Amino acid sequence: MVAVERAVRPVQASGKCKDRMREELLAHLTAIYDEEYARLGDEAAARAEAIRRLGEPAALTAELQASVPVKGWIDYQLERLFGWHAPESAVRYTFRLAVLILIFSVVLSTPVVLTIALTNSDFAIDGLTRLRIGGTFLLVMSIDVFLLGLLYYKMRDALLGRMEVRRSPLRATCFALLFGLVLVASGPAIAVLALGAVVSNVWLLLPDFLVLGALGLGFALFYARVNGPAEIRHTEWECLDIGVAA
Amino acid sequence: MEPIHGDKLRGHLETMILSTLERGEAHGLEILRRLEEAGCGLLRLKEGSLYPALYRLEEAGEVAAEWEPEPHGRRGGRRRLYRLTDKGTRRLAEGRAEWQQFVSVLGNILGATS
Repeated sequence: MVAVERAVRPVQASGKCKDRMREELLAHLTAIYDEEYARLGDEAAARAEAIRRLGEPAALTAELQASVPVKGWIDYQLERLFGWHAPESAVRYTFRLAVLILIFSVVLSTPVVLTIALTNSDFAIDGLTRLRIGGTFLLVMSIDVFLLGLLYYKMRDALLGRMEVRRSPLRATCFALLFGLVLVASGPAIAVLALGAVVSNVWLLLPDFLVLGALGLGFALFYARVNGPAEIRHTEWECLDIGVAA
Repeated sequence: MEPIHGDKLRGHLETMILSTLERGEAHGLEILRRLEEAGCGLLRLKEGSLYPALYRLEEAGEVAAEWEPEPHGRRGGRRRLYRLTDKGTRRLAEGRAEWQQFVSVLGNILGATS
């Protein structure tokens, strides 16, 4: 794995693209190691010969890089900004992501919000209240990104197990319920924080929020089941100690 | 005869890969075996170099690939099975024509053909 990772880690491509390179090169390296072991009968010699046959890591990195299309390079740049960086913790990553999304949302939505707030239109509420609603929405959305992201990773790891994290259906269920609870609470939180007592009947919408929470929870569980194993494999590759700086 | 190393194959590796896939779909190691077999043991490739060439061919739509379901009874990662596409077949025909022309021209210059 180390020989493969030394060649693949420095490649500037999306995580998905690099995982494909890793898996395919690992399958190849394992097969040629088995061939060499059958021929030489010595583990160390077979390993050295298999690595020699695969090629010099730096040269292979350059060749792999040359095979990455422009779209793959753009994906890499986006992942550098919004993606997880090994060995970042889930808390740190989701916090960084929430702050980034908040900054981008504020920057992108400011012209629209100001236009609406300062326009004399037929809205029943004044400009300041409209600004407060928009601001509250952005703030709650960022808090949701942090909490839901964190709970998703905790739930996924408890559901599937990862390195030092043991599988625990009980913990996975607790995190999943918390995930649903955050979703359920987000709607009323926006309404209450933005409008205060004006919408005291927001609780009438509770059944709708419960449905939203259940749907969101179901989707997160489905997503973790389908994509979790690949995400965990990616994390394990990225955290592999390859002995040299990539 | 002296072995032929990767540097001398530059520019031809992709056409050679397409040629091996004419015999049917194959994963990377099988493609290498076919190349070695066709090269009578005189081809010396850094085996990792095969994959960037395969990725370029896939990106160009000249080969299509899909993952093998599971590594049945085999250690290591999953393998991808590559097959020739219609575009790849056309590119192979063009590559062969170019090669014939190249050999003919150089043969005339070097006096290797009658």
